Amino acid sequence: MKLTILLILLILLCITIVSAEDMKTITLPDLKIELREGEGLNKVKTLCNTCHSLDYITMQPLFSVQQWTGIVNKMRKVFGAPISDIDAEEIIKYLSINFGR
Amino acid sequence: MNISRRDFMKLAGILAFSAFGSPHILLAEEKKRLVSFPEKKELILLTSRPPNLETPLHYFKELITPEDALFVRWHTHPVPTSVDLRLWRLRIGGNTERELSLSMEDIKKLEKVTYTAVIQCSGNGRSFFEPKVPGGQWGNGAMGNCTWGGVRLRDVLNMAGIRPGSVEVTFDGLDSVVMPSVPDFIKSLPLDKALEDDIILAYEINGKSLPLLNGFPLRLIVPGWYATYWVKSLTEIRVLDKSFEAFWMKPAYRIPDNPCGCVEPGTSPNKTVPINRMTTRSLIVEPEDGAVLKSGRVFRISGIAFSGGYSIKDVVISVDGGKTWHQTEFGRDLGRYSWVQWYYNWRPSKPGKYILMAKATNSIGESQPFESLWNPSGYLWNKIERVEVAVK
Repeated sequence: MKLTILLILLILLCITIVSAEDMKTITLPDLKIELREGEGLNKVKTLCNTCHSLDYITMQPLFSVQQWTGIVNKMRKVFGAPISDIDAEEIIKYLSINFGR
Repeated sequence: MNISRRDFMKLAGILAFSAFGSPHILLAEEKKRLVSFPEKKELILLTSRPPNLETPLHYFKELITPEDALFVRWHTHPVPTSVDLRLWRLRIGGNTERELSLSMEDIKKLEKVTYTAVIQCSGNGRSFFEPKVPGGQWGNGAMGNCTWGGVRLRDVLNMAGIRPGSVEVTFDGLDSVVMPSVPDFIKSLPLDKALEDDIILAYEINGKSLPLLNGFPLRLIVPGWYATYWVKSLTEIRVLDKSFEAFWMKPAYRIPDNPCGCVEPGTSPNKTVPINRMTTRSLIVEPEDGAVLKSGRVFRISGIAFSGGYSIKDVVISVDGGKTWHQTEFGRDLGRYSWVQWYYNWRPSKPGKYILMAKATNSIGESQPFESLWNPSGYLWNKIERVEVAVK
């Protein structure tokens, strides 16, 4: 009798442990974004891509050099992206040519 | 065909680009790319890492937005992809009598509160701003109307005991950052707001547990206010005796400090305040822009309307570009935080082009502008939309 109760409790415990409500795990898709070839693309692919997918760039409206400069500087100064002055210049140039207006 | 100069320029641009195979047009198409993320239906992709996904318009034909169709908005990578409730705890501390560490079981022992409320991203409609502004280029799909179930934030704060001199409460979730220099997403509410009756910590959406991308296992619900405050996958609540001014409260998510929350297009405001209550807005869901209708037949124009916590008093509709207006009928009333569905039976008698417009007004007289109000972050979008249809 005691053993039966113990067994039932054990089974219930196991059910509780594996209950879907207790644990949730997802795998996010790895979507590839192809950007247009151009000078500076490698810098964009390595540096910008550290913090966010490159669709952050393709999603934006076409911006002027001043606007892209402002955005890249925000990434560096506000979000602390470790991008040197030289690299930033190259990235801004790439964005302004390929996503500029 | 009657096309405006602007439409002509747009068309000419598209033709020119198509002819030379410009990447920009491909990119424009890419903006409408539908993608499947875990626990979610196919949604419009804005960005994949961190995920930002928009709800296709047709879901707004329903009073309640299915949780798997609700938009997704995260600020920093990485976002939580695994939560084990046996290990997960909600910590409450700061300027409190005691520090708490609550399990989901502890939380569910508190009184349950359930209501329906619109969740809307601060930047919903940003892509319509002219001049354009940087940021998530949302159409109208960064919103939804869901039923939230959870416990009062006030009950949880009182369990911890709020000490005198407290002024704000901060909320932090499981989302993290790739390097310490990136500001972690933490939001704050004034203490008096945090103690309001309807502020809840929700463990349910439409009667189910939250999808991970929408904040499993627990998310803050601030009905009537923009979703930036609805912190997802909560782990820590802190009571502060001073104002919290980290990045996501200042300078991010702020609006011009004036009654319209707007400035002259292209300029910067002198003074800003944290974004808060939602503006009043409506949306025509059917017919869709560009639809072709038959003359002499009744077409039911329908849509939704909501405001920041005040009931919608009326929604009027125009089928002649705003010259004359007609009262619409409302669907079921789910309370002041829910959207209302409205209807108008229209029988167009003559073929031609028609411009449909809908305008909502709430119980305290707040309505929608005919011309868009501009601010540099692209928030508070609530311009009266124009839907063009052809009657044949």
